[in-house]
Amino acid sequence: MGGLLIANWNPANWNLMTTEKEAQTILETLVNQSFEECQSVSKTFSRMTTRSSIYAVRHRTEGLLYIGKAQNPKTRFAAGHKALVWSWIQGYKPDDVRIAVYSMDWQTWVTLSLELERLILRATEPPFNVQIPMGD
Amino acid sequence: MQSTKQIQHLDPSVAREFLENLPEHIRKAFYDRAAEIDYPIEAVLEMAISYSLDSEAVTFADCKPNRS
Repeated sequence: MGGLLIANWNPANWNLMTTEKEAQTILETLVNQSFEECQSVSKTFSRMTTRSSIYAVRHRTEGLLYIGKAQNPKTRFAAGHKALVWSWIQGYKPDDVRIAVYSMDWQTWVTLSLELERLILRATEPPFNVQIPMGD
Repeated sequence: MQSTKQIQHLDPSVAREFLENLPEHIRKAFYDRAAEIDYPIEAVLEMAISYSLDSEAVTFADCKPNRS
């Protein structure tokens, strides 16, 4: 059986499986991070990173509200993010909305950007109200 | 030198040549940003081009110019 597996082994498929798994792990990290550890909503987002990141806007009890990418999350949120506007329209209290952020180096972006894009698109249909189970 | 077309990312030498022809304060801003986030300079330029076409994009690979 082992010989059969080796005979059929394709480096391209292996890379695809690896990147898919890595991208999935990143999204799971965002979703499973403790709500209290996430960034709270503020006017300036002074504690927010300026490095390119994947982020998840989450509600304390409703779960994942939005997931996306930003080259500079600090300026993106300080300038007003649509997910926060939607949260306000929905009547959510600012204290019940927080942002989980996962920053990556450039090489990781080069390796995973397409796979992350695919997973984000899958996770954001329909927008704003995806029901992905939260870890806390 | 690999072409940007082949590697789907901005080639470092292409990026540096382009930057050399920009106004000083713009070139400096790109290098400052690269130092701030510890990314290669060609990455920061690729990100800027990608963002101008698609605010959700980080790289050329995930840039969708017609994203709604």
